[in-house]
Amino acid sequence: MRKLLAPAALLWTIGVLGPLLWILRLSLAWQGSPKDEHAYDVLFYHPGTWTLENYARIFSEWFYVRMLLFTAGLALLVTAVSVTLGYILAYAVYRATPRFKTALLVLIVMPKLTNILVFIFGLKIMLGPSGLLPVVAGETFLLLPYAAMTIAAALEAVPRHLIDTARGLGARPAAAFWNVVFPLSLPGVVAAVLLVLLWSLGAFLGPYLLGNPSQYTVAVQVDRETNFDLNWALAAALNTVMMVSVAAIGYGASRFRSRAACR
Amino acid sequence: MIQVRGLTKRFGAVSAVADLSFDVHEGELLAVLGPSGCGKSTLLRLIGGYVRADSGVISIGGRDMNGLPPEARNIGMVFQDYALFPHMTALENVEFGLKMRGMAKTERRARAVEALAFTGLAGIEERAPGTLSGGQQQRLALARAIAPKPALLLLDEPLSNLDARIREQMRGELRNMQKRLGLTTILVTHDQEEALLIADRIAILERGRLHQCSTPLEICLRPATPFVAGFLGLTP
Repeated sequence: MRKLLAPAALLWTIGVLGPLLWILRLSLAWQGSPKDEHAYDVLFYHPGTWTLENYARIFSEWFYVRMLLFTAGLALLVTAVSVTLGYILAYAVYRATPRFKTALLVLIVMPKLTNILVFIFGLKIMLGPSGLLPVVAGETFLLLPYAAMTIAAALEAVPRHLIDTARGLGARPAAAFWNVVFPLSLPGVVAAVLLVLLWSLGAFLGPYLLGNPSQYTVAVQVDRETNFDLNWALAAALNTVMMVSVAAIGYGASRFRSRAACR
Repeated sequence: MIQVRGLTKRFGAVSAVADLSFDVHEGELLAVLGPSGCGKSTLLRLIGGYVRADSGVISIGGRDMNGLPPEARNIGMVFQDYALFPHMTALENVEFGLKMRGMAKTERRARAVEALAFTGLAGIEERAPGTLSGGQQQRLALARAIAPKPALLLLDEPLSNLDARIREQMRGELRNMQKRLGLTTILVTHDQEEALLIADRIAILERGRLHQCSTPLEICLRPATPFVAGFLGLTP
Protein backbone atom coordinates (compact mmCIF):
# COMPACT_ATOMS: atom_id res chain seq x y z
CA MET A 1 0.00 0.00 0.00
CA ARG A 2 2.84 2.38 0.87
CA LYS A 3 4.33 1.90 -2.59
CA LEU A 4 1.09 2.96 -4.22
CA LEU A 5 1.33 6.30 -2.45
CA ALA A 6 4.72 7.09 -4.00
CA PRO A 7 3.35 8.73 -7.19
CA ALA A 8 0.97 10.82 -5.11
CA ALA A 9 3.77 11.88 -2.76
CA LEU A 10 5.97 12.77 -5.74
CA LEU A 11 3.21 14.78 -7.39
CA TRP A 12 2.42 16.64 -4.17
CA THR A 13 6.09 17.43 -3.56
CA ILE A 14 6.96 18.56 -7.08
CA GLY A 15 3.62 20.04 -8.01
CA VAL A 16 2.38 21.69 -4.82
CA LEU A 17 4.77 21.80 -1.90
CA GLY A 18 7.88 22.71 -3.91
CA PRO A 19 6.39 25.75 -5.69
CA LEU A 20 4.75 26.94 -2.47
CA LEU A 21 8.02 26.80 -0.56
CA TRP A 22 9.78 28.51 -3.45
CA ILE A 23 7.26 31.38 -3.36
CA LEU A 24 7.69 31.65 0.41
CA ARG A 25 11.49 31.82 -0.05
CA LEU A 26 11.17 34.43 -2.81
CA SER A 27 9.00 36.60 -0.58
CA LEU A 28 11.85 36.77 1.94
CA ALA A 29 14.45 37.87 -0.64
CA TRP A 30 15.76 41.42 -0.86
CA GLN A 31 14.18 43.29 -3.77
CA GLY A 32 16.94 45.86 -4.32
CA SER A 33 17.85 49.29 -3.00
CA PRO A 34 15.58 52.31 -3.26
CA LYS A 35 16.94 54.89 -5.71
CA ASP A 36 14.37 57.53 -4.91
CA GLU A 37 10.94 57.65 -3.35
CA HIS A 38 9.16 55.32 -5.76
CA ALA A 39 11.59 53.56 -8.06
CA TYR A 40 13.63 50.62 -6.88
CA ASP A 41 16.81 49.30 -8.44
CA VAL A 42 15.19 45.99 -9.00
CA LEU A 43 15.63 43.01 -11.28
CA PHE A 44 13.43 40.10 -10.16
CA TYR A 45 15.11 39.61 -6.73
CA HIS A 46 18.54 39.30 -5.12
CA PRO A 47 19.35 35.58 -4.66
CA GLY A 48 20.66 34.45 -1.33
CA THR A 49 19.40 37.47 0.63
CA TRP A 50 16.98 37.32 3.58
CA THR A 51 14.70 40.18 4.63
CA LEU A 52 11.17 40.98 5.87
CA GLU A 53 11.23 44.28 3.97
CA ASN A 54 8.61 43.11 1.42
CA TYR A 55 6.07 42.35 4.13
CA ALA A 56 6.90 45.59 5.90
CA ARG A 57 6.18 47.50 2.70
CA ILE A 58 2.87 45.69 2.13
CA PHE A 59 1.61 46.44 5.62
CA SER A 60 2.96 49.99 5.89
CA GLU A 61 2.47 51.63 2.51
CA TRP A 62 -1.06 52.93 2.11
CA PHE A 63 -1.07 51.84 -1.57
CA TYR A 64 -0.84 48.17 -0.55
CA VAL A 65 -2.95 48.44 2.61
CA ARG A 66 -5.73 50.10 0.63
CA MET A 67 -5.45 47.38 -2.00
CA LEU A 68 -5.72 44.59 0.60
CA LEU A 69 -8.76 46.28 2.17
CA PHE A 70 -10.34 46.87 -1.23
CA THR A 71 -9.76 43.24 -2.24
CA ALA A 72 -11.38 41.98 0.96
CA GLY A 73 -14.27 44.43 0.67
CA LEU A 74 -14.89 43.53 -2.96
CA ALA A 75 -14.84 39.82 -2.10
CA LEU A 76 -17.39 40.33 0.72
CA LEU A 77 -19.67 42.44 -1.49
CA VAL A 78 -19.51 40.02 -4.42
CA THR A 79 -20.14 37.11 -2.06
CA ALA A 80 -23.18 38.77 -0.49
CA VAL A 81 -24.71 39.65 -3.86
CA SER A 82 -23.88 36.29 -5.51
CA VAL A 83 -25.18 34.16 -2.65
CA THR A 84 -28.39 36.21 -2.32
CA LEU A 85 -29.15 36.12 -6.04
CA GLY A 86 -27.93 32.50 -6.20
CA TYR A 87 -30.40 31.52 -3.49
CA ILE A 88 -33.27 33.11 -5.42
CA LEU A 89 -32.28 31.24 -8.61
CA ALA A 90 -31.80 27.98 -6.69
CA TYR A 91 -35.19 28.33 -5.00
CA ALA A 92 -36.85 28.74 -8.41
CA VAL A 93 -35.15 25.50 -9.48
CA TYR A 94 -36.31 23.79 -6.27
CA ARG A 95 -39.96 24.72 -6.78
CA ALA A 96 -40.03 24.09 -10.56
CA THR A 97 -41.61 21.02 -12.13
CA PRO A 98 -39.08 18.42 -13.35
CA ARG A 99 -39.20 19.64 -16.96
CA PHE A 100 -38.57 23.29 -16.05
CA LYS A 101 -35.97 22.26 -13.51
CA THR A 102 -33.65 20.96 -16.23
CA ALA A 103 -34.25 24.04 -18.39
CA LEU A 104 -33.45 26.39 -15.49
CA LEU A 105 -30.29 24.49 -14.57
CA VAL A 106 -29.10 24.67 -18.19
CA LEU A 107 -29.80 28.42 -18.23
CA ILE A 108 -27.77 28.91 -15.05
CA VAL A 109 -24.78 26.98 -16.40
CA MET A 110 -24.99 28.40 -19.94
CA PRO A 111 -22.77 31.50 -19.35
CA LYS A 112 -20.01 29.15 -18.18
CA LEU A 113 -19.88 27.62 -21.66
CA THR A 114 -18.67 30.96 -23.04
CA ASN A 115 -14.97 31.72 -23.19
CA ILE A 116 -14.26 33.88 -20.15
CA LEU A 117 -12.63 36.71 -22.14
CA VAL A 118 -15.51 36.83 -24.60
CA PHE A 119 -17.86 36.81 -21.61
CA ILE A 120 -16.08 39.72 -19.91
CA PHE A 121 -15.82 41.84 -23.05
CA GLY A 122 -19.49 41.15 -23.66
CA LEU A 123 -20.17 42.47 -20.16
CA LYS A 124 -17.97 45.48 -20.86
CA ILE A 125 -20.18 46.41 -23.80
CA MET A 126 -23.29 45.96 -21.65
CA LEU A 127 -22.05 47.66 -18.49
CA GLY A 128 -20.40 50.71 -20.03
CA PRO A 129 -17.37 52.66 -18.75
CA SER A 130 -14.95 51.07 -16.28
CA GLY A 131 -15.66 51.54 -12.61
CA LEU A 132 -16.64 49.90 -9.36
CA LEU A 133 -20.15 48.91 -10.47
CA PRO A 134 -18.99 47.00 -13.58
CA VAL A 135 -16.34 45.22 -11.47
CA VAL A 136 -18.88 44.06 -8.88
CA ALA A 137 -21.42 43.14 -11.56
CA GLY A 138 -18.79 41.32 -13.63
CA GLU A 139 -17.44 39.25 -10.73
CA THR A 140 -21.01 38.49 -9.65
CA PHE A 141 -21.91 37.28 -13.14
CA LEU A 142 -18.82 35.07 -13.10
CA LEU A 143 -19.49 33.51 -9.69
CA LEU A 144 -23.30 33.47 -9.52
CA PRO A 145 -23.63 30.08 -11.31
CA TYR A 146 -21.40 28.40 -8.70
CA ALA A 147 -23.40 29.89 -5.84
CA ALA A 148 -26.72 28.95 -7.44
CA MET A 149 -25.65 25.37 -8.23
CA THR A 150 -24.24 24.77 -4.74
CA ILE A 151 -27.41 26.02 -3.06
CA ALA A 152 -29.66 24.19 -5.55
CA ALA A 153 -27.92 20.93 -4.65
CA ALA A 154 -28.52 21.57 -0.94
CA LEU A 155 -32.18 22.54 -1.49
CA GLU A 156 -32.79 19.40 -3.54
CA ALA A 157 -32.06 17.40 -0.38
CA VAL A 158 -34.92 19.13 1.48
CA PRO A 159 -38.01 16.90 1.09
CA ARG A 160 -40.79 18.95 -0.45
CA HIS A 161 -43.55 17.45 1.66
CA LEU A 162 -41.92 19.06 4.71
CA ILE A 163 -43.43 22.28 3.31
CA ASP A 164 -46.85 20.61 3.07
CA THR A 165 -46.44 19.40 6.64
CA ALA A 166 -45.54 22.87 7.90
CA ARG A 167 -48.52 24.39 6.07
CA GLY A 168 -50.81 21.72 7.48
CA LEU A 169 -49.58 22.67 10.94
CA GLY A 170 -50.69 26.26 10.35
CA ALA A 171 -47.65 27.91 8.74
CA ARG A 172 -48.21 30.44 5.96
CA PRO A 173 -45.93 29.94 2.93
CA ALA A 174 -43.38 32.50 4.19
CA ALA A 175 -43.32 30.96 7.68
CA ALA A 176 -42.88 27.48 6.19
CA PHE A 177 -39.90 28.76 4.21
CA TRP A 178 -38.13 30.55 7.08
CA ASN A 179 -38.78 27.85 9.69
CA VAL A 180 -38.21 24.73 7.62
CA VAL A 181 -36.72 25.16 4.14
CA PHE A 182 -34.17 27.87 4.93
CA PRO A 183 -32.61 26.27 8.04
CA LEU A 184 -32.31 22.95 6.20
CA SER A 185 -30.60 24.62 3.23
CA LEU A 186 -28.04 26.44 5.43
CA PRO A 187 -25.19 23.95 4.83
CA GLY A 188 -25.50 24.79 1.12
CA VAL A 189 -25.47 28.52 1.86
CA VAL A 190 -22.31 28.14 3.97
CA ALA A 191 -20.64 26.12 1.20
CA ALA A 192 -21.63 28.72 -1.39
CA VAL A 193 -20.34 31.59 0.77
CA LEU A 194 -16.97 29.84 1.17
CA LEU A 195 -16.69 28.96 -2.50
CA VAL A 196 -17.53 32.45 -3.75
CA LEU A 197 -15.56 34.23 -1.03
CA LEU A 198 -12.34 32.32 -1.67
CA TRP A 199 -12.78 32.64 -5.40
CA SER A 200 -13.51 36.35 -5.38
CA LEU A 201 -10.54 37.07 -3.09
CA GLY A 202 -8.48 36.08 -6.09
CA ALA A 203 -10.51 38.24 -8.49
CA PHE A 204 -8.35 39.17 -11.45
CA LEU A 205 -10.11 39.45 -14.79
CA GLY A 206 -13.09 41.46 -13.55
CA PRO A 207 -11.05 44.20 -11.84
CA TYR A 208 -8.38 44.15 -14.56
CA LEU A 209 -10.68 44.40 -17.57
CA LEU A 210 -13.75 46.16 -16.13
CA GLY A 211 -12.12 48.41 -13.55
CA ASN A 212 -9.89 51.47 -13.18
CA PRO A 213 -6.55 51.25 -11.34
CA SER A 214 -8.36 52.21 -8.13
CA GLN A 215 -10.32 48.94 -8.42
CA TYR A 216 -7.22 46.79 -8.91
CA THR A 217 -7.05 43.85 -6.54
CA VAL A 218 -4.07 42.04 -5.03
CA ALA A 219 -4.21 39.48 -7.86
CA VAL A 220 -3.89 42.25 -10.45
CA GLN A 221 -1.00 43.79 -8.51
CA VAL A 222 0.78 40.41 -8.33
CA ASP A 223 0.58 40.28 -12.12
CA ARG A 224 1.94 43.84 -12.40
CA GLU A 225 4.82 43.27 -9.95
CA THR A 226 5.70 40.02 -11.73
CA ASN A 227 5.42 41.02 -15.37
CA PHE A 228 5.83 44.82 -15.50
CA ASP A 229 7.81 46.00 -12.45
CA LEU A 230 9.82 42.76 -12.37
CA ASN A 231 9.78 42.83 -8.58
CA TRP A 232 9.32 39.14 -7.93
CA ALA A 233 10.14 39.34 -4.24
CA LEU A 234 7.26 41.72 -3.60
CA ALA A 235 4.93 39.72 -5.87
CA ALA A 236 5.76 36.60 -3.87
CA ALA A 237 5.10 38.42 -0.59
CA LEU A 238 1.71 39.70 -1.82
CA ASN A 239 0.92 36.19 -2.95
CA THR A 240 1.88 34.73 0.43
CA VAL A 241 -0.35 37.21 2.26
CA MET A 242 -3.30 36.10 0.10
CA MET A 243 -2.51 32.40 0.52
CA VAL A 244 -2.34 32.71 4.29
CA SER A 245 -5.67 34.61 4.36
CA VAL A 246 -7.37 31.98 2.21
CA ALA A 247 -5.93 29.15 4.31
CA ALA A 248 -7.08 30.90 7.50
CA ILE A 249 -10.62 31.28 6.15
CA GLY A 250 -10.65 27.63 5.06
CA TYR A 251 -9.38 26.49 8.45
CA GLY A 252 -11.89 28.66 10.29
CA ALA A 253 -14.70 27.28 8.17
CA SER A 254 -13.70 23.68 8.81
CA ARG A 255 -13.58 24.35 12.56
CA PHE A 256 -17.01 25.99 12.33
CA ARG A 257 -18.38 23.03 10.39
CA SER A 258 -17.05 20.36 12.72
CA ARG A 259 -18.52 22.33 15.64
CA ALA A 260 -21.87 22.50 13.85
CA ALA A 261 -21.70 18.78 13.08
CA CYS A 262 -21.19 17.99 16.77
CA ARG A 263 -24.41 19.74 17.78
CA MET B 1 -69.11 16.36 11.02
CA ILE B 2 -67.24 16.20 7.73
CA GLN B 3 -69.31 16.33 4.55
CA VAL B 4 -67.92 15.54 1.12
CA ARG B 5 -70.26 16.13 -1.82
CA GLY B 6 -69.60 15.47 -5.51
CA LEU B 7 -65.84 15.81 -5.10
CA THR B 8 -64.04 15.48 -8.45
CA LYS B 9 -60.39 15.85 -9.48
CA ARG B 10 -58.95 15.05 -12.88
CA PHE B 11 -55.28 14.89 -13.88
CA GLY B 12 -55.39 15.27 -17.67
CA ALA B 13 -57.76 12.60 -18.94
CA VAL B 14 -57.56 10.53 -15.75
CA SER B 15 -60.15 10.95 -13.02
CA ALA B 16 -58.21 10.58 -9.78
CA VAL B 17 -61.36 11.22 -7.77
CA ALA B 18 -64.77 11.00 -9.44
CA ASP B 19 -67.94 12.45 -7.90
CA LEU B 20 -67.24 11.28 -4.35
CA SER B 21 -69.86 11.86 -1.65
CA PHE B 22 -69.65 10.63 1.94
CA ASP B 23 -69.87 11.83 5.54
CA VAL B 24 -67.55 11.35 8.49
CA HIS B 25 -69.35 11.61 11.81
CA GLU B 26 -68.05 13.36 14.92
CA GLY B 27 -65.41 11.25 16.69
CA GLU B 28 -65.54 8.54 14.05
CA LEU B 29 -62.60 6.74 12.44
CA LEU B 30 -63.25 6.30 8.73
CA ALA B 31 -60.86 4.09 6.78
CA VAL B 32 -60.48 4.83 3.08
CA LEU B 33 -59.48 1.52 1.57
CA GLY B 34 -58.43 0.63 -1.95
CA PRO B 35 -55.63 -0.69 -4.15
CA SER B 36 -52.76 1.65 -5.04
CA GLY B 37 -53.81 4.21 -7.63
CA CYS B 38 -57.44 4.19 -6.47
CA GLY B 39 -57.31 7.92 -5.67
CA LYS B 40 -57.13 7.65 -1.88
CA SER B 41 -53.98 9.77 -1.62
CA THR B 42 -55.51 12.40 -3.90
CA LEU B 43 -58.62 12.39 -1.70
CA LEU B 44 -56.45 13.05 1.35
CA ARG B 45 -54.59 15.88 -0.41
CA LEU B 46 -57.91 17.40 -1.50
CA ILE B 47 -59.26 17.37 2.04
CA GLY B 48 -55.98 18.70 3.42
CA GLY B 49 -56.05 21.58 0.93
CA TYR B 50 -52.83 20.67 -0.87
CA VAL B 51 -54.65 20.09 -4.18
CA ARG B 52 -57.56 22.13 -5.57
CA ALA B 53 -60.69 20.18 -6.53
CA ASP B 54 -62.21 20.57 -10.00
CA SER B 55 -65.66 20.53 -8.44
CA GLY B 56 -67.48 19.45 -5.32
CA VAL B 57 -67.74 20.58 -1.73
CA ILE B 58 -65.83 19.69 1.42
CA SER B 59 -67.18 21.08 4.67
CA ILE B 60 -65.93 20.58 8.21
CA GLY B 61 -68.42 21.36 10.97
CA GLY B 62 -70.60 23.20 8.47
CA ARG B 63 -67.70 25.41 7.30
CA ASP B 64 -66.99 25.27 3.56
CA MET B 65 -63.31 24.52 2.96
CA ASN B 66 -63.37 25.58 -0.69
CA GLY B 67 -60.39 27.79 -1.56
CA LEU B 68 -58.88 27.71 1.93
CA PRO B 69 -55.12 27.00 2.08
CA PRO B 70 -53.91 24.11 4.30
CA GLU B 71 -52.85 26.47 7.10
CA ALA B 72 -56.42 27.80 7.45
CA ARG B 73 -58.15 24.41 7.70
CA ASN B 74 -57.11 23.21 11.18
CA ILE B 75 -56.53 19.66 9.96
CA GLY B 76 -53.81 17.44 11.45
CA MET B 77 -51.96 15.23 9.02
CA VAL B 78 -49.56 12.32 9.48
CA PHE B 79 -47.64 11.41 6.34
CA GLN B 80 -46.52 7.91 5.45
CA ASP B 81 -42.85 8.72 6.17
CA TYR B 82 -43.83 11.02 9.10
CA ALA B 83 -42.16 14.15 7.58
CA LEU B 84 -40.58 15.13 10.89
CA PHE B 85 -38.48 18.29 10.87
CA PRO B 86 -34.92 16.95 11.15
CA HIS B 87 -33.39 20.22 12.40
CA MET B 88 -35.72 20.49 15.40
CA THR B 89 -35.84 18.48 18.62
CA ALA B 90 -38.83 16.22 19.28
CA LEU B 91 -40.32 18.92 21.50
CA GLU B 92 -39.80 21.65 18.89
CA ASN B 93 -41.50 19.44 16.30
CA VAL B 94 -44.59 19.16 18.50
CA GLU B 95 -44.48 22.86 19.39
CA PHE B 96 -44.38 23.93 15.73
CA GLY B 97 -48.12 23.86 15.10
CA LEU B 98 -48.78 25.75 18.35
CA LYS B 99 -46.12 28.33 17.56
CA MET B 100 -47.67 28.92 14.13
CA ARG B 101 -50.97 29.59 15.86
CA GLY B 102 -49.28 32.29 17.92
CA MET B 103 -49.40 30.51 21.28
CA ALA B 104 -47.12 31.89 24.02
CA LYS B 105 -43.95 29.95 24.75
CA THR B 106 -44.71 28.60 28.23
CA GLU B 107 -48.20 27.50 27.26
CA ARG B 108 -47.14 25.76 24.06
CA ARG B 109 -44.27 24.04 25.85
CA ALA B 110 -46.69 22.63 28.40
CA ARG B 111 -49.10 21.51 25.66
CA ALA B 112 -46.29 19.86 23.69
CA VAL B 113 -44.97 17.98 26.72
CA GLU B 114 -48.52 16.82 27.39
CA ALA B 115 -48.95 15.60 23.78
CA LEU B 116 -45.65 13.72 23.95
CA ALA B 117 -46.69 12.05 27.20
CA PHE B 118 -50.07 11.16 25.71
CA THR B 119 -48.40 9.32 22.83
CA GLY B 120 -46.04 7.51 25.21
CA LEU B 121 -42.97 9.59 24.41
CA ALA B 122 -42.28 11.23 27.78
CA GLY B 123 -38.54 11.79 28.25
CA ILE B 124 -37.47 12.15 24.63
CA GLU B 125 -38.18 15.91 24.42
CA GLU B 126 -34.64 16.96 23.55
CA ARG B 127 -33.83 14.11 21.13
CA ALA B 128 -33.43 14.73 17.40
CA PRO B 129 -36.03 12.88 15.30
CA GLY B 130 -33.27 11.05 13.39
CA THR B 131 -32.16 9.30 16.59
CA LEU B 132 -35.59 7.83 17.32
CA SER B 133 -36.81 4.36 16.35
CA GLY B 134 -39.46 3.93 13.63
CA GLY B 135 -42.20 3.43 16.19
CA GLN B 136 -41.13 6.50 18.16
CA GLN B 137 -41.01 8.61 15.00
CA GLN B 138 -44.54 7.50 14.23
CA ARG B 139 -45.74 8.52 17.69
CA LEU B 140 -43.91 11.83 17.37
CA ALA B 141 -45.63 12.58 14.05
CA LEU B 142 -48.94 11.77 15.74
CA ALA B 143 -48.15 13.94 18.76
CA ARG B 144 -47.27 16.83 16.47
CA ALA B 145 -50.52 16.42 14.50
CA ILE B 146 -52.82 16.28 17.55
CA ALA B 147 -51.11 18.95 19.70
CA PRO B 148 -52.95 21.89 18.01
CA LYS B 149 -56.28 20.09 18.64
CA PRO B 150 -57.32 19.83 14.99
CA ALA B 151 -60.93 19.43 13.88
CA LEU B 152 -59.94 16.46 11.75
CA LEU B 153 -56.99 14.08 11.66
CA LEU B 154 -55.74 12.65 8.37
CA LEU B 155 -53.54 9.57 8.44
CA ASP B 156 -51.79 8.54 5.20
CA GLU B 157 -50.80 4.87 5.47
CA PRO B 158 -49.50 5.59 8.98
CA LEU B 159 -48.49 2.03 9.81
CA SER B 160 -46.99 0.88 6.51
CA ASN B 161 -43.41 1.83 7.40
CA LEU B 162 -43.34 -0.15 10.64
CA ASP B 163 -42.15 -3.70 11.30
CA ALA B 164 -44.99 -6.24 11.38
CA ARG B 165 -44.65 -6.76 15.13
CA ILE B 166 -44.73 -3.07 16.05
CA ARG B 167 -47.44 -2.44 13.49
CA GLU B 168 -49.99 -4.59 15.32
CA GLN B 169 -49.18 -2.93 18.62
CA MET B 170 -49.33 0.58 17.14
CA ARG B 171 -52.60 -0.23 15.40
CA GLY B 172 -54.24 -0.94 18.74
CA GLU B 173 -52.69 2.11 20.39
CA LEU B 174 -53.61 4.38 17.51
CA ARG B 175 -57.25 3.36 17.77
CA ASN B 176 -57.11 3.71 21.54
CA MET B 177 -55.71 7.26 21.39
CA GLN B 178 -58.17 8.28 18.69
CA LYS B 179 -61.06 7.09 20.86
CA ARG B 180 -59.76 8.79 24.00
CA LEU B 181 -59.43 12.10 22.15
CA GLY B 182 -62.74 11.61 20.35
CA LEU B 183 -60.94 12.93 17.30
CA THR B 184 -62.66 12.65 13.92
CA THR B 185 -60.18 10.74 11.77
CA ILE B 186 -59.74 9.64 8.17
CA LEU B 187 -57.20 6.88 7.70
CA VAL B 188 -56.04 5.93 4.23
CA THR B 189 -54.76 2.41 3.73
CA HIS B 190 -54.39 -0.41 1.22
CA ASP B 191 -54.37 -3.01 4.02
CA GLN B 192 -57.78 -4.72 4.34
CA GLU B 193 -56.99 -6.21 7.74
CA GLU B 194 -55.99 -2.85 9.17
CA ALA B 195 -59.19 -1.21 7.92
CA LEU B 196 -61.47 -4.01 9.13
CA LEU B 197 -59.88 -4.11 12.58
CA ILE B 198 -59.76 -0.46 13.61
CA ALA B 199 -62.28 1.53 11.55
CA ASP B 200 -65.81 2.48 12.59
CA ARG B 201 -66.69 2.59 8.91
CA ILE B 202 -64.84 1.83 5.70
CA ALA B 203 -65.05 3.64 2.35
CA ILE B 204 -63.88 1.41 -0.49
CA LEU B 205 -62.42 3.21 -3.50
CA GLU B 206 -61.46 1.95 -6.92
CA ARG B 207 -60.18 4.16 -9.75
CA GLY B 208 -61.51 7.27 -8.04
CA ARG B 209 -65.03 5.90 -7.51
CA LEU B 210 -66.68 5.00 -4.22
CA HIS B 211 -67.98 1.41 -4.19
CA GLN B 212 -69.28 1.20 -0.65
CA CYS B 213 -69.16 3.14 2.58
CA SER B 214 -70.38 1.37 5.71
CA THR B 215 -69.36 -0.59 8.80
CA PRO B 216 -66.85 -3.46 8.52
CA LEU B 217 -69.56 -5.96 9.46
CA GLU B 218 -72.00 -4.64 6.89
CA ILE B 219 -69.32 -4.71 4.18
CA CYS B 220 -68.36 -8.31 4.97
CA LEU B 221 -71.97 -9.48 5.12
CA ARG B 222 -73.29 -7.52 2.15
CA PRO B 223 -70.52 -6.35 -0.22
CA ALA B 224 -72.14 -3.82 -2.55
CA THR B 225 -70.25 -4.71 -5.73
CA PRO B 226 -68.23 -7.65 -7.07
CA PHE B 227 -65.09 -5.46 -6.71
CA VAL B 228 -65.65 -5.04 -2.97
CA ALA B 229 -66.14 -8.76 -2.52
CA GLY B 230 -63.07 -9.56 -4.60
CA PHE B 231 -60.86 -6.96 -2.92
CA LEU B 232 -61.73 -8.27 0.54
CA GLY B 233 -61.32 -11.88 -0.62
CA LEU B 234 -64.96 -12.76 0.09
CA THR B 235 -66.51 -15.53 -1.94
CA PRO B 236 -70.02 -14.65 -3.13
